[in-house]
Amino acid sequence: MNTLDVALKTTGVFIKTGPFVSLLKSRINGLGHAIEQLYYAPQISYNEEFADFHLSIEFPNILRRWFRPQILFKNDGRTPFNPLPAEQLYPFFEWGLNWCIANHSNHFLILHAAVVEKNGYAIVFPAAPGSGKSTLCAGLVSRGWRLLSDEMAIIEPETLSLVSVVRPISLKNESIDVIKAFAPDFEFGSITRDTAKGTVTHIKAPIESLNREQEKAQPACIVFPKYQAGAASLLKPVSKVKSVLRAAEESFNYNVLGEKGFTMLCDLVDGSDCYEFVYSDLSDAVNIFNSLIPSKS
Amino acid sequence: MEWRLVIKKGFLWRSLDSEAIVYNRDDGSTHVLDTVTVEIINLLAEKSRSQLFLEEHVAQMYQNLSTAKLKNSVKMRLEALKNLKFIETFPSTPE
Repeated sequence: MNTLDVALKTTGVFIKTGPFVSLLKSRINGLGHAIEQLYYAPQISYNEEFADFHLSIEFPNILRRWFRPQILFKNDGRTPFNPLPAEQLYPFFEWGLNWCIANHSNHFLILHAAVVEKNGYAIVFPAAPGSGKSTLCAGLVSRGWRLLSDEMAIIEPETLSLVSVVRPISLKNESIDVIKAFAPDFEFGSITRDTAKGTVTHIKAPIESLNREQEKAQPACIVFPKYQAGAASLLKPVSKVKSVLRAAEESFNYNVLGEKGFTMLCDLVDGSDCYEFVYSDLSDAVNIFNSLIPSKS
Repeated sequence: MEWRLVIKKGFLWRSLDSEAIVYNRDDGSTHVLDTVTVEIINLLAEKSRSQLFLEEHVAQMYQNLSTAKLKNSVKMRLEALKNLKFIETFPSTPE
């Protein structure tokens, strides 16, 4: 057993992702290996003064440790989800951490969105699950775009800056093979089948993105993506008011923030170019978004 | 009969391009409205108004519109705002 496994089973391991620190404990074998595979050493620590989230993943009872093993995710001792099969250990950790950030970070406006940046040009991709957001994000990141987040746009209230939270990119179903073919150099985690989302896996974020994690980005563009098999790539402007409504639908805490959320979202949209994007070909998609970056002249 | 604003806590609105988006402070709902409709809400936020007053005001914004179309346009907007629970009618006090 290595240091990480021992710490997970005893004092816990601190995982640092952007502004969030999570203290994770688990006595279940396999979690340490997956974390070691998909996170970088600087993101893991054994001694921090503070943790935003106190997480644990455990067997619900002795029976479920041996008979059709199940696991429970806990945050501050509470169980926000029903137990899942033990094979879903690593995805459960990632989903649980998503839930913690989305539900306990109301000092930010949070959208369900991927965020990437290149040459100072940041794009926010708000989208419902299954729209091809993560596939597009992974495709762009594999071609030199910086990953700020695959799952959430975290927006500061005063500056509207996008906060980077570098974590593994989540892929599911057909997109796994698409990205394996498009970006074979990515480091993939193990595959988990038969989850509520289908077959899932994670990709380790590029180290370049982690090295620039402290750099915030100013949003330049909001794009609502939609993967459509066989469709030609089409980037079409969307009206600003529709963009506010669509972004609000993809926000975790727009309603919680009330008029502050409304003002922030209006400001965000007002200062950004807004498009919807239908695609099926990732190379095309990358070329289109590269062409949006203003030239430095 | 006059129209008045129902919203107690007021509303926020932003004009983006040629459309407007309105946030209802009472229930936290967000709506896309055209600028004429927002103008009607703003007038009703000052005080209750008769439909005739609102028609005359909108007529100044759309000088080319026929009277019938104008009346219909205001009526539709008032109904839409009523359905959104922004406004309501009430009997005006006889003078």
